[in-house]
Amino acid sequence: MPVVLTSSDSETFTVDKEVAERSILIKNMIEDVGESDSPIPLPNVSSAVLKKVIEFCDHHRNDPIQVQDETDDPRKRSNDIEEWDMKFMQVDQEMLFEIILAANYLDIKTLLDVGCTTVANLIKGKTPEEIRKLFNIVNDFTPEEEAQIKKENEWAEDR
Amino acid sequence: MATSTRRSSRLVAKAVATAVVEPKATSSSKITASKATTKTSTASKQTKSTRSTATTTPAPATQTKTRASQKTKQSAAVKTTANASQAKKQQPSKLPSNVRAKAKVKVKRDVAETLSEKLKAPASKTSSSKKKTPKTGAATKTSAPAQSRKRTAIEVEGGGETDSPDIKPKRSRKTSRKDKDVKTENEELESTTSALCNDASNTAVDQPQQGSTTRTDPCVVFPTEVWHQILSFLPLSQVAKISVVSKAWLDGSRTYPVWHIVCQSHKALGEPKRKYRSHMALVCSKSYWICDLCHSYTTGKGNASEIPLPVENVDDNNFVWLLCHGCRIEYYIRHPEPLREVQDLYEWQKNKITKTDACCTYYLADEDLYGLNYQERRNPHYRSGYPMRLYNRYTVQKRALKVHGGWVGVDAFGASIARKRSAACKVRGLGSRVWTCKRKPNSDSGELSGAATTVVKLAGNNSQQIQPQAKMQGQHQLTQIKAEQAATQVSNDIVTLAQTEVAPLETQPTVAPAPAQRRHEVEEYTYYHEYYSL
Repeated sequence: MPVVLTSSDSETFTVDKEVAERSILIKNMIEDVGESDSPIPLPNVSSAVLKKVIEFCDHHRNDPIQVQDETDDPRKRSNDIEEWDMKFMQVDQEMLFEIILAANYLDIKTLLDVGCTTVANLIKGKTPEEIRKLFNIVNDFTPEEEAQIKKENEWAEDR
Repeated sequence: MATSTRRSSRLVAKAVATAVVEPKATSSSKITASKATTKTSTASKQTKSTRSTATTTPAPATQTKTRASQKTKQSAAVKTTANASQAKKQQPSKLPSNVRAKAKVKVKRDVAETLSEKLKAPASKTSSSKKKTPKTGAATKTSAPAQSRKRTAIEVEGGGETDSPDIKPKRSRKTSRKDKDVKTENEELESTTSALCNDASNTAVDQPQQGSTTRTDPCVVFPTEVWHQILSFLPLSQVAKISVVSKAWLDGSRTYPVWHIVCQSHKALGEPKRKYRSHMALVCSKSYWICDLCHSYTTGKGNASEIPLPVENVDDNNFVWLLCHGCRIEYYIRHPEPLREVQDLYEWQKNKITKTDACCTYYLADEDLYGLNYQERRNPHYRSGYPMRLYNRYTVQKRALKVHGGWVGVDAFGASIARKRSAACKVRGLGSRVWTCKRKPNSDSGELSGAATTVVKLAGNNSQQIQPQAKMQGQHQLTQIKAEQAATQVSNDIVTLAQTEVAPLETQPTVAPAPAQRRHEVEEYTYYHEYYSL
């Protein structure tokens, strides 16, 4: 059964129920409302982002749905991303952030994980100055404050 | 009339207050299970309300506005803005800046929405009361059982329709008062409302209304939960390192719950006090012993190879993670290490290794070799002695890798890394102490420090008592110190020498000085000898 989704800019997308239900939010909505032809409004997601999200969900339609577990063992956590996901995430920063926000809003754990891993990989191994350059962040610390924080939160590197 | 105004303003205030208390009601991540249930209900509400609004087409607000409704709206707007500002003040000041920014935007948006609704609502009400047209969809649903004030209030809070038969007649009574004043005031109100609406529409949902720099800053853009999820993919050392990027990042790093969890799960770390004022600082002070992956705390007192050691993670583009023994074992199960070929040995020695050699080379105890196959030979030193045990070298290597958690563990055991780190940790602890230093002399004005003044005075008074040999010695050391200062490196030997030279003349007892203070004392010493040589 197809499900109609409406983006914030009133563009409609017709997707399979199986694909739409990758989002826990939409799944719950469908369960609550019951079978209906009326479109599901997604006021927090623009059409461009929703298109990307649907593309991701369509590709992962057959994947088993991950159960959220707060006591997730960090040892089993892996930072590597599948090749397709990596290509999918090769977008500009603004779009990447929008996708992560949409994944958070729509409650799509796999997409959120992939997005967070991508941002973490951008940050990883970079110095604070490099991070500032990468994300266009202004250093709002005074030199004294910065020195104090560096001293306070110094992680011993000589080990 | 007055009561209706008060009621409407109260409702609006409630709506604003709810917006302030729950700034991320729509966008907050749905991680916890408890949130999921509430989320479902709100989501369904939202769908219904949106659908109902889609079916009912409200009349144009400008055509059907009445003066009474305008006045009510205006007073409500004034109170709403006042309440909004009050609510803003009531916000906890210690919230992270990104959360505060989002809450600010949310409040603005909510105020704008409420005001725009207020602008539209009376119009549609008037028209409906005049025409008496039946409503469809959710509107009928709300009018049937939920005509009570409570329900209306809830609907206003939820941002739903505000239609209520209670409010209609009271508002219509206001109609015929102060036409001119209301006109001008209404114009002002419309301008402010449109400004607010534009403001809210310009800013995208979940994005702070700040400069372009903040829109590209992930720490500011993302909700706290998402930001912490990103941090969870980074080693703790990296999280500590990136805290100096900006104030928002410092807040984001400090509020990362892992610091607190680490402190709670390892009582040896204690609680943040004067020296380490945050959990983050406390964990950083013990960074030698904390695993980047599982955040366990191991000092290696039982087994020196159990401490966190650097491992190049193949899964993570060879990024170095400090892994504890358990994490290393799990890692090397997935990515087994090659065994080491031993060179410069006799042919028979290549595969075989004696028990003593095995224990010495791979730092194993007798118990570690338990269960391994071996061959017995007659003791080569004492024919009647205990027979020699020959183990397979590669089997022993495998056992050593398991015992020490990879070659990095074997090497760390051999190099006694744990002991060195322990010593370094003590030095770090001493380094972070706050030394109470004497008043710094003002070099520009030629002012001397207390100790130097004492030295000069003593030298001036008792110059005859100081022997010429001491003079010579002092001059020799002076040249030495000058050479050192030129190279901007103060040797510890000279510092101690200087201290021994200056100490008898000083009136105050000496305390182990910090590096900065040492340098200062050397300067005093130099000054003293320069003065004295003259």
